[in-house]
Amino acid sequence: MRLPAYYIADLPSEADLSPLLLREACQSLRRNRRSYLIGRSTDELIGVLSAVSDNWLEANDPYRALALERGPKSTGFSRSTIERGLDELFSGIDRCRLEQVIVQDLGHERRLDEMTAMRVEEESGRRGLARGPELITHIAGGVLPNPVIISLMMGLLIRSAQIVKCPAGGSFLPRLFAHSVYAVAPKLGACMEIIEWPGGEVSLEEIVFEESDLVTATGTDETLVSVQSRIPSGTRMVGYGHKVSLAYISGRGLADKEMVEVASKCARDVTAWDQQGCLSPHVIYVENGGAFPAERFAEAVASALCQIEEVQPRGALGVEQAADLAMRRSVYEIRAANSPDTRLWSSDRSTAWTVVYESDPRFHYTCLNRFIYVKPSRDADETLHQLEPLRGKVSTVGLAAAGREAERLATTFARWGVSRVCPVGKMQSPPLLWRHDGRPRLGELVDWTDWERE
Amino acid sequence: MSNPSCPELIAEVARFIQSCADSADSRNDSGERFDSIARRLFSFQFETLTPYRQLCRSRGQGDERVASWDSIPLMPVEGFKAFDLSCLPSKDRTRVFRSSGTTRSNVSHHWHSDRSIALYELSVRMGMELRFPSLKRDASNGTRMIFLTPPPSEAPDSSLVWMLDTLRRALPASSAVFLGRCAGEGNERREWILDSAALPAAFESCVDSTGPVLVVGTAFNFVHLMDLTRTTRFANPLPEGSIVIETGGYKGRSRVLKRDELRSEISRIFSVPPRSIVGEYGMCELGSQAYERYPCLGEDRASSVSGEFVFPPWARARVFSPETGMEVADGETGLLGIVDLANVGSVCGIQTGDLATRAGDWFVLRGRVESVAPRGCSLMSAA
Repeated sequence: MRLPAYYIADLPSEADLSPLLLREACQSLRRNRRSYLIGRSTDELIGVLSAVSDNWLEANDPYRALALERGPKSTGFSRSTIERGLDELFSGIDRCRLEQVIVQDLGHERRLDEMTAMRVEEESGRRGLARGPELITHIAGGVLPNPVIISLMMGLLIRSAQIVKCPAGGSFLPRLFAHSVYAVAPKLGACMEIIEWPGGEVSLEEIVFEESDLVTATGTDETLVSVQSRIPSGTRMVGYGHKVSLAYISGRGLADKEMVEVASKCARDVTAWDQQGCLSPHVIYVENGGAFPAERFAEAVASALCQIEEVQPRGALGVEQAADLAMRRSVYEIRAANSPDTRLWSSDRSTAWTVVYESDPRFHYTCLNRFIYVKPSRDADETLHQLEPLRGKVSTVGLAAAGREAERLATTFARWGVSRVCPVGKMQSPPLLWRHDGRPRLGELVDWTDWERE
Repeated sequence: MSNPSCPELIAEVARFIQSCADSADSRNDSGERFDSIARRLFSFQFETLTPYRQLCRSRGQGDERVASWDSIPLMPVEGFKAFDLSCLPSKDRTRVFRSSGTTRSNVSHHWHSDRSIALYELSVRMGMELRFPSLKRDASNGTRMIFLTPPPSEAPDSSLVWMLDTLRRALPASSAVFLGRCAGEGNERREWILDSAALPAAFESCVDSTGPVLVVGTAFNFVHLMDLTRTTRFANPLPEGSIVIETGGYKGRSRVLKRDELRSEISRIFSVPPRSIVGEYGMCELGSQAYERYPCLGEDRASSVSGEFVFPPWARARVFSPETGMEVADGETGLLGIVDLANVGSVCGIQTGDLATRAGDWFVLRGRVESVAPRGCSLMSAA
């Protein structure tokens, strides 16, 4: 299947992306929004989006097929990693959840259609209507398709025209998604534009920033500062900066026989999108005194990673990345050979997966690509103490704990500033209703009109 | 059969180095002897160095016997940071070479005794002679040597500075000057700068010199020199036959120039043809140095850099895939490993953190692997 050239990213790479072309693209997006998007009802839009999502779950969907066929070469993930990632993503998007996002964030399912009120507004004699900006530009950061796809869906729900600026080499899956919307509803597909250029193309970026009413940006903190400094005053920016995640295995309430299952869920978190996302764990902390000693748990994670590799291999690495991983492994290899404080489990004759157990409780960044640290923890307070320099930067804590203990730990992490606590095994597949980095998804994008009735 | 002692092995390697230097086409003839010495070195080091033995065992190398030199387990350079990888008795350790680094914990240290340092010096001298036969020939006429590094008194633990001082001592008829200084105080005295006041006199005297001049410095030294000379319009044509050796290494201390750019700047400042500028590859963990070959005639003249390095016959490079650990094919890139017979008192098999492309017996350096050591998290180190 050959994709028609609906989007700028569909053009051959040698095609010249001129400022003029970009300016015209912005103008037609606004025009298309006025003609095709603004008059749609929420119900209609949710119908389209849930249909698109359903299609992606169909084995014979042409866009899904293309993603699986060409994805490994374009994205670096293996076919099965893409397959699993897409299934996790789209199985969480349906009519019901799309309606719930609107209710959760905007307080009323028809908030984008008409003046409505929730109870507290009714009681105070007010109604309100939320509306999306005319044109949103999303500066996409990483290689995972999830954030871009969800952003595009949210943008369509609030009737905004949208541009996605992908990093160089990163437009394949976003493009396929845009085409899949186009296939179901061509006129909605015409309210989106997918573009790819390397970061720092100032003259091109200036144009989209000038034309946009809202810019969302995902990337390093430096990228966000740079984007913020270049967008005109009066244009809003929503930034998603550097975040890290980890798992915490409680010492209480879990039975010994559950260890293999919990370890296998942790391994799922490590293998999902090859650990490339902000929600992927760097370290698994295992509380002392529980059913699972950290070292045994590390071994169980290693065994689970080994099994997953058989059915869902990690993507191939370039020589630099493989060398980084191999060198890092060798550091722990020497330590492990000479001290019981470190242990290493790793794939044989490949860099496919690595588990390092260290008794040192300090937090370490891993080099990703299925390289995970397992460390003991005295208790949550000690772990949070180790994380102190990262306060405000911790996105997700994957938690394995039972009943009351889970509630106590979730509250402890929440008070400290962690923005999401979820069960292990679910770290890389947040629900659609997730408040991204602790902020409401739609709430961050819309403007309001309040109507105070007499 | 009991293992030979360290002094016996040092003596044997010294004889081998000498014989390599004495015979013209030594590489082809020396294979068997290299292999035999390398295996015996491994056996000795396996027995003597506990951290190394443990590493070998964890890799399935259970005893001191290996089939050939290229199956010797390689010690990652990181090992020189974490352990005292020395076969020398503590009382004999008279000198230590340290790598540059920002904190004590990420600095390699390589111990030497009087005997092992003598072997190091032999390796340096013979390596130089093999690569630059003219050097010894011209030395009797009084070659001038200008080293852009600090002198040994200021940088006593730098293997590079020791290597240069070895050259100075080896060519007594020549004159040598060290133009670098260590900046900073106390433990922070690690940053090398150039003594701008001493520069003009040192180079001006070369203009009158009839014999060739040898200039040696790190890439960083040369960038610093360029920055200084840009404001002073300094330009010093060196006499014909002069050699400039660039030892690589920026270590995050200065602006970084592409190698081609750096070479053409050096060529301009000293008015030397590009083929007289040669790269050197060494590190404190090694006892031998690799040198770059001249670009072949007929090669694209636009590129003055061959980028292809080779060790002298007593050290051999391996390039292996970081993914599989297997040796890569010609033209492919991987991690550079070295078996260096001059490392008798430490570990002869070293895994570097450098990427290289195999080119027959030669290798092309592709640069250092980024973020090798886990340094906690970047936010922590910035705090």
